[in-house]
Amino acid sequence: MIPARATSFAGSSVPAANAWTWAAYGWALLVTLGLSYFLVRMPFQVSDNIGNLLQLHQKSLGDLLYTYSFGGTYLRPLLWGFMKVVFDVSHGHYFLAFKAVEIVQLFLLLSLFARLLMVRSRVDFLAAPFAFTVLLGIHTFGGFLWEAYPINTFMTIAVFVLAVLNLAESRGGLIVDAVAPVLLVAAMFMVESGLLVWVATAAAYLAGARGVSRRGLTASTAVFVGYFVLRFVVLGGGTPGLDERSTGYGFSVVDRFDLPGRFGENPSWFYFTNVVSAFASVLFAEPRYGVWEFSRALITDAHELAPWMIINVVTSTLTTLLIVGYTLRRVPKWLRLNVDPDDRLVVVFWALTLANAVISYAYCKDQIVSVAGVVYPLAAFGVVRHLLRRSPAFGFVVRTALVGILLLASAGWAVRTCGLCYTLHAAAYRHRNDWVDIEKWMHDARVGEHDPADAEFVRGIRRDALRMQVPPPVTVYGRFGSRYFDQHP
Amino acid sequence: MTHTSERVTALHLALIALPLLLMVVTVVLLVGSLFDWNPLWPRDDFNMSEQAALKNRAGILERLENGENPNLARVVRAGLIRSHPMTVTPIEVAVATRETWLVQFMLDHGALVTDENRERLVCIARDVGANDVEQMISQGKLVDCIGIQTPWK
Repeated sequence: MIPARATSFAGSSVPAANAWTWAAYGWALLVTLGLSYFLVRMPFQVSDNIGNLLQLHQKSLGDLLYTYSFGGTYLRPLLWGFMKVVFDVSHGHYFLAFKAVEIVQLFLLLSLFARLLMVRSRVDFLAAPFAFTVLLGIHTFGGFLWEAYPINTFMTIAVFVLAVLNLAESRGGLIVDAVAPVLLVAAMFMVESGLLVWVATAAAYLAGARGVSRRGLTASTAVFVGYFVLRFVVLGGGTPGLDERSTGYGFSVVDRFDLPGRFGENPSWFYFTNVVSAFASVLFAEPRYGVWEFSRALITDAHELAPWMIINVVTSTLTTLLIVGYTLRRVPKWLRLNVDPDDRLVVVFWALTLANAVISYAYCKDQIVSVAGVVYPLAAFGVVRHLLRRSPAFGFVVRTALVGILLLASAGWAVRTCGLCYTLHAAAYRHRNDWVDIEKWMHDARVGEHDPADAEFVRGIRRDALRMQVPPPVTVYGRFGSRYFDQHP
Repeated sequence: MTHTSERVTALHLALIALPLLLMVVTVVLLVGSLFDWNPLWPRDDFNMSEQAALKNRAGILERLENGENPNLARVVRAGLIRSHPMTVTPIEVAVATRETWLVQFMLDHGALVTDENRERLVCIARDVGANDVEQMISQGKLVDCIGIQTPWK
């Protein structure tokens, strides 16, 4: 008989993977194929990408590793090393190579996500697709796919986080304890949000997952501390300045050149609001990129309250309320580090979301909280599965209300998932059109002045991008798309 | 024997119904794409005037680089501008969009404003209320639109 409660792999009797488990993996594979349909039709983006591609073209692996180790604000040698290897191995087939990396990353992310759902029964499987629609529909997910420069490092970090959570839920052992800190090193030296891999390791351990043992956690913690020593003491690196990027604040976007003037005397308040905004954004889909646009549309007449805003905020709020309701009853137990295996996904979600919000202190962007956006559906799944298991004990009224709530939430997330297709199509269209103006960028950046091959390199990518067929999204989605699907970015 | 919690109830169906529908649609579309059926990514067979109506500079550029004439009138299918087909040049459509950047783009890529078509273009701009575009096209010359019929009147 299949146990009613799935428990950790580590040191307990958990059913082995069965047909339902493989059905969940099959779901992940089909989702990968569905999204890949759009990815292979999406031209390279220009902004944040063409400059990187040019560096990959101009510089050697050694130069890149040196520049991004000792160069200044950012410590990202492994990111550039990885991109350079892919670039060189592609032998000129850059689009094919980097798209292949993107699709492999996507498949890994979805498979690791499916594994964490621990689907072992029909009930589990019936809830799993809901988790996938929350994952795809959440506003932080789209950025994994429509943005790539030329690799999307936010998705890379999400893969690492899910990988380490899977390690934490494994049977453990020496290899697991060795791999965990290695993953952390790889993540941290790719991009700063890689630090969240340590948060995931520690949160999972505190929540009772012992796949990564105390030994592995200690090693990871040592690596984590060592990173800060290396970066800020040995290398004397800095942190992003106040004028790093424009960002939302309140009801509008503040230009990055105005930020020092407005908040230079008390940047702590600005950073605090960014953290709060990031946290709220994951839970309520409001604010977006730091702008409280839903609230603004409710309060003022100057901005329209579009249907897509209502769908986003209502769906996220409904789902978050389910998670919060589940959490509040268990907080006293959790604070005593008494966490049931079924609760672990929710505990890890809160820990990672808080940490992700904190590292978003410098500016607000949906992509920066994308790791939290990946564990949010895990928490939602955990709560919903718990409700399904307990539902036979509910009275008719409660069960009926629950059906209504879950149907509404499921419908909202399904609409948002459809909106992902629209978002990807719109991004592809935008990317293709951005290549029209590349000559001006080349002129301003003096590309080709020292080496004409640089100009020809950029023009070659432009030719390939303009040759790609991208019908205008309005011809497919009509006005419906612009009203009911998320309009960011 | 099925465990009590394994029975499929309305609750389960409420959760899976729509995601399952999405997955079925996904599979149908993926299989269809193998047979060149792509309703979510149809062929971009819009002509240059239609591309201008869609404000698709990349589409316009692609056709220019294929050697198409930017000053030729083409039939814009119903639904893109009006509910009936219209035969118009890309620059006329660009003016009607009221977007100065699109008009400038057409001018930069070979669209001509001549003494023959200036009046018509200015009158189109006036009909759609595009003051900035009207100034761009008229270049200070006075234009009287009495007796000039445009498709946007």
